[in-house]
Parts: sequence; structure tokens; C-alpha cells
Amino acid sequence: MQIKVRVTGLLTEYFPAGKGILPVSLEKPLTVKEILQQIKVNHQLVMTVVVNGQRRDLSYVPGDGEEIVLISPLAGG
Amino acid sequence: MYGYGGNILRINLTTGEMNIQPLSQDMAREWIGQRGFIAKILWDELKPGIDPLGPANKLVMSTGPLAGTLVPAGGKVSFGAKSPATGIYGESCMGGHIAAEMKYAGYDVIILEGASSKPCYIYIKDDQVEIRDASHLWGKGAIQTEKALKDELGEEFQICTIGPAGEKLVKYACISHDFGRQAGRTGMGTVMGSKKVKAIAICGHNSIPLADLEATVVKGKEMLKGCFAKENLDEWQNYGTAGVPVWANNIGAFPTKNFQSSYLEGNENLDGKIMREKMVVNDKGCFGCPSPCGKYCYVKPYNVYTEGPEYETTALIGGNCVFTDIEQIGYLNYLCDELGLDTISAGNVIGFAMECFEKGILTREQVGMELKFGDLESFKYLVEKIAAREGIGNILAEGVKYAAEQFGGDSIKFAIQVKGLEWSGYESRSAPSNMLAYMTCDLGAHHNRAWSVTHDIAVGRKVLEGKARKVIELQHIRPFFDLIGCCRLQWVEIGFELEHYPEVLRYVTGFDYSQDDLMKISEKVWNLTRAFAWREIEDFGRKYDYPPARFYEETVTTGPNAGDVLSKEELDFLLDDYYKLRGWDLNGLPTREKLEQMGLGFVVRQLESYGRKIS
Amino acid sequence: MKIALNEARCSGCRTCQVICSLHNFNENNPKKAAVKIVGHFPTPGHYEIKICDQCGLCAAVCPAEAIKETDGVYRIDKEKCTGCGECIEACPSEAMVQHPAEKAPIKCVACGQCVELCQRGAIYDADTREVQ
Ligand code: SF4
Ligand code: SF4
Ligand code: SF4
Repeated sequence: MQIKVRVTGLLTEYFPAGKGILPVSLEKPLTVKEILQQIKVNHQLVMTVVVNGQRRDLSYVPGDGEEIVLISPLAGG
Repeated sequence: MYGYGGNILRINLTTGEMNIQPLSQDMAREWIGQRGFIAKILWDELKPGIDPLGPANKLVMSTGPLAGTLVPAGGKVSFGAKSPATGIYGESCMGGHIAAEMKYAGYDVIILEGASSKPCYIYIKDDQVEIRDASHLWGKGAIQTEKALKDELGEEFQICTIGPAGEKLVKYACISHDFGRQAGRTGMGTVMGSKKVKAIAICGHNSIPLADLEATVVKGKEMLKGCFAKENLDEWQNYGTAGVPVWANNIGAFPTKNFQSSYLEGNENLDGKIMREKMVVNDKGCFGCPSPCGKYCYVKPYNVYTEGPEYETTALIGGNCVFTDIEQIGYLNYLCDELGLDTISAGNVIGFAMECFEKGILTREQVGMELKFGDLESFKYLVEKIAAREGIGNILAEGVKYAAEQFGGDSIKFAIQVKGLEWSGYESRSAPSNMLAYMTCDLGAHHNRAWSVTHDIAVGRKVLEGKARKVIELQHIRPFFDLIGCCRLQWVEIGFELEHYPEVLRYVTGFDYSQDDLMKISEKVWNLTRAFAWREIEDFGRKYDYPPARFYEETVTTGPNAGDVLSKEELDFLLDDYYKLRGWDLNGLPTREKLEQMGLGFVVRQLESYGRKIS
Repeated sequence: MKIALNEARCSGCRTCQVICSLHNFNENNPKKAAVKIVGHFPTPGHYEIKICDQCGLCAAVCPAEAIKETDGVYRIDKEKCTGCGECIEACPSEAMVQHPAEKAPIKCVACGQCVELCQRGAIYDADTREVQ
């Protein structure tokens, strides 16, 4: 199965695909946290996960073809 | 002049004299606006050694060339003066609508000099400027005052006010505006209070001339739509900075129990989602903002309205004083806003007092009641005592550094401040670059200039190499927004690209800056404010850049980073690297070469005339 | 273009006013905008939007017959307008704006610029979009 990953804000600086979309192939369904491990992105850099406009967290398991958007932490004012 | 209100308004409160001078082309081109103007004016016009609360200090209010235009979020204004909290350069930035209004009235800068002998407010309607009696407002809350003046003068007026804390000269009194926006830091409300100015009310009817109107419209629309299209816009406008506390806690950066820890049990109750469900009544934004972060709240159990709490307030009232009920924090936020207190410093001061009590450094007799972390009555009691400068409040009103000097024991070790300014809401023993950012901020421990917790996470939280470089880069970019009159949050939070700004500045002002030119100007201002501190304090330098001993002697007590500490050697490594990259000497003072290279030859001459030895 | 409002969504940003003045006056001057944003703070904490709904009452009361309708939009003929202010008084939406530098009142001509830039959907076009 394949999913797509995109990041926003400060995270783009540390994301392999920058501002682009990163396709990720998975052998089995994984949580967002596990996926981040696979693509070597520190999960602490992710504040919120958004899938189809819904606010999710790192334990969310994306389905085939889904695009997950990782929201980077905010700088708090 | 294109992009500018075009004038500097100067009001002498002692004599009642006023004058309006045109803003010069050179001043505009070389210092851009807002914090650039403030730093230059304070350097030129303040004599070193003046009493920050005496008539010789000046309160300078200034905005930048993009404020009031179609460029996204052009609603920022800064206030500057010699700070009563730190004794060095002070400045604080605020959103809302008054920056734009100033420009429509024709002003980029308003300078308040001298001091009034009785309470007054400044009335500005285009070129009609008056010092009016404010005895009917004196003693009123900051928000009540704004409301009273709106009712009196009309909805078109934009008004900033101080609360009772500013009148009583509490060292961390803020200036408030738009029912929930504050210029909180470095005691700008205190300076306003010392001049007996309760409010500034502005209404303007003029247009801002644009160098290229059509191009500004096209580019402005493109920029706005660029912001509208950001994926994280909804997250941002639903929760604002209230989306941050849970993340900050999970990574171990949430100030807890007066910074003993970076992890707060029960922090999940502070999540933006819960706040939204329980209290938010309206998403409120500043002028021109495509991504409104203001969460206007009704806090039902206490029957009060307040904007926020935003992240810093939740961190410092919530975590630092150990409140895990968002409605209680909302209520305490309301109290601080109405009293006119900076919530960052107030949360620090009260957390500090609570710890002193716990440790037996403060007693029931001294305080007048028993203080406990997480106790609403304790907070309420102290905040009211502080604003009135009564009893223990009279000492706490001076800030944590002074209070620690009075209370003694080892309390100075956990008075969480740098240069006398209380620390913003990130515990940083596990984030060296952020630690360095707050240590070296020209104002004291403030997040406005650089924030880099994500950088620490990304490149390694124990790593020290390369951190100084990142901090310096951010110290030029972030406060760059405080030169142009725009909010930085579109860039910081929703990822709006920096590249747009030089282009749009060209359309608005006609000045052709490159990205590099803009960063150079930002760096020039940085060097100037550092020099300002040195001009004030003869032995200024490295020793003023250390955090409190808690951060290098005590380990984080709980949470994911329990056990972390940065040793003094590590801090020195960071500082050495930082000074070197800045072109400063080992004591952290700008060198002749650096100052001259920045076009600050006049600074060299002045420093020398005051006997400073420049290397 | 049928301008409609969802005031609960308004964040008070006044982008609508800036673009209105830029588009209709070639000036960056929100005080010349044909839409008013009125904050109700500190209580109950929301914004009110005052904008013309093209009801035509202004045209009916204008003694100089300076306000004419075309395609459902009422426009003021600045040449004919004497600046008497009758229409301002009559407007049930309190939507007409006065500016010290303009003799004629300022009135919405349904150009739709504000709709284009209202990110919040607080001002929207009911012809093309359902209420948010
Ligand atoms: S993001 Fe927040 S602070 Fe910045 S302009 Fe918008 S409402 Fe104001
Ligand atoms: S643009 Fe929209 S959200 Fe902004 S003030 Fe106008 S109506 Fe309100
Ligand atoms: S539709 Fe056009 S004229 Fe009417 S308020 Fe909006 S921008 Fe102004």
C-alpha cells in the first residue's frame, strides 16, 4: 500500500521532500508515528496530524492512498 | 512618502508642547520602521543613566511601512523606551488595529516626552492632537478604559490603555489594545504610567500613498491568497497558539512549577480543543490578518470575557503556577489583562513566590496568606497585591530578580530571568539553541527575537555545535517583522514564504531592498540595541547573558527530559560561539570593526565619549 | 453578485475595507470603504458587518435623484449628489459611509472585491456559495 506525506511550516526545513509530497510505500498498515520512523522524521517535530481535514494524532493508522499532512509545532506567539 | 504615514509626532507632557515633523527619506530607507525607528530615536535622544520612570525617558510608539496596507497582517506596532524592568533597551510589540490607524492619521512615530502632572490621555484625530484630562479613567481597568473611551469618542477610534498596574508603576505593566492585545514586555505600560498617560486614542482619515498601487494590489492579493491556501490554516485559526501546550509538554519544554520541570501532569486539559469547546466565542484577528489567532473567550464559571489565553499565558500562568483547568487560566488571564499586567512576567513572579513559600523563604506573616502551587486564591491574592503595590505585592511588583535579592536564601537561583526580564514559556535545559536565544535576546529572556526548539529537536537536543549560527539567523529574521509593521506568525506558524517581502516592500515604498539588505538592517538594529545596553551599564557583557543557576545547576525534575541540565561550560561554549559569529569580543561586546561595518560609526564615537573601551 | 453575511465568522480583519477603498477610490484608505466593521467588545465579543443590500430606499429619498439602479445595483451619481445626507439617514442597514474629504456618501456597488478577500466567508456571494 502507498500513502502520501506532506508537511507544513517549519517542518519543511527538516523533511526529505521539503515542501513537496513524499510518497511512502508500506508493507502493512502502520501508525503515523511508525511511518515517521521509517522515513526518518523525528515525531517530536509534529504537533498535529491532519487527514482529510480531520485532526488526528500520531497513533492514527492511514488507509491506502490517504494523504497525511503533518503540522509543525508553532512557536507560541 | 510612499508607504509611510509620513510624520513624527512629538508630544511633551511636561510643557504641553507638540510638534509634527516630516519623516525623512534617509531615516525611512536606513531604519525601515517600527523597532528600527525606536532603536535609533532612543539612541539619539536618551541620555545614558536616566531614570526610566522619570520625565527624561521617552515612550516611542512606532509602526512600519507595510502596516495598514493590503499586505497580510500589517497590524503591528511597537513601543520602546529605556526599560524600567531591565535598565537597558526596552521594547514590546502589539497587534490589533492601532498601527494602521496611526498611519491613516499620518504618523509613523509618536514620541511621548516629559511627564504630565495629572492623569491625561492623548487624543489624536488626524492633525488635531490634544492632551485631555483622564481623571475619570484613572484607576479603571485596562479593558474598561478602552470601552469607556470607545463609548466617549466613537467606534472609529483605536485606543491603547494602561491598567491600574501601569498607574502604580509595576515594573511589568503592559499596554493594552483591542480588548485583548498587549505590548506586554519590558514594562512599557510602566513608562506610560510614569508619564500619567492613561490612554492614546487615534482616528485617521488619510490614505497611505503607495509607490505602485496596482502592483501592491496584485501582490497583496497574491500574498493573502497564499496564506489562505496553507494547509495548517484551519488548525491555526481554530486553536491559535492554544494548540501548542500539549506538544510542548510531550517534548518536555512546558514550564512547570516555576521551571523546576518541563512536564506538567494534567496538561492534556489545556489543549486547544478543550478550550474551544468550553470557552471560545469568536475568532478574532488583527488588522489585515489572513489567519486570526485570537480566541475570544467567555469563561462561564467566572462570568468574564477575555481574549486568550494564548500559549505564553497558558504556559506561565498554567504550567508555571500549576493550573490544569483551562477555565481557571482563562479567568486569571482576564484578571491580568484588566489590571494591565504582562502575563509572562506575572506568571513567573507568582510561580516564584509560590516556590519561595514552599521552601520556607517566604512566610505566612510576610505574605498575609498561605501560598500554594495550583491554588486559585493564592494567584488572585498576589496578582491584586502586586497591581496595588500593597504588602508583599510592593516587592513582587519589581520583578523576580529584585524580589529574590530582597527575599534572600538561594532564591536568586530560581528567579527565572535574564537581564532582569522574566523568561518566556519554554523550559530550555533540553534545547540549547533556545536557551541561547533567550540568554542573548537584547531585551532579556523573551521569545520575540528567536525561538528554536524545533531546531534543537531536528539536529539533536544535546548537540551544541552550529546552534549559535541558527540563533543568529533567527534573531535577524524574526524581529525583521518588527521593522515592517507586519505580524511574523504567517511566516512562523503557517509557513508563509519570506521571499515575498522584499518585492512587496518595493511596491509599497519604492525602496529596492534585497533580502540580504533587509537582514543587514535587522543585524544593524541588533548591534545598536546591544550597544545601548553597554552605554547604560559600564560592566555590561557576558555575565549579563547567563540564565538563572537553576538551568545550569539543577536537573529537570520530571517528564521525558528528567535529569537534563546544561552545564556552565556548555553555556560558555554556546556564548563563545555566538559572540565569535556575531563579530563581538569574548565578553560579548560589539567590536569597532563590527560596528563600523554595520554603519554604526556614530555608536563607536559615542561609546568612546562615555569611556567605554572598544576592542 | 448577491452579497450575504455570516457575521459570526468575521474576525474583524478589515481586509474588506482596504480592498474596497483600493478598488473603488484607488486609495489605500479603509475610511472610504463602503462596508463597516463594528466590534462589540468586551461583551458579547463579536463583529457586526454593515453593508448595503441594494434595497433602494436611498434612491427613493434622494431629493436630487442622484441614486439610480442598474442591474439591481444602486449607484450614486457624484455630479448630481448635493451631499445633503438624506440617504444616509434613510438607510435601514446604516450602510452608507461619510468621509470628510468626499461630498457624496460612499455606497457599495457590489463589485465583489471584499468577497474575494474575505478568508472567513463572513461576506460571501449568495449567488455562488451556500452559507458556510
Ligand atoms: S496571526 Fe494573530 S497576532 Fe498575527 S496578525 Fe493574525 S491575529 Fe494578529
Ligand atoms: S474581510 Fe471578512 S473577516 Fe475580515 S473584517 Fe471583512 S468581513 Fe470580517
Ligand atoms: S462589494 Fe465592492 S463596493 Fe461593496 S463593500 Fe465590497 S468591495 Fe466595497
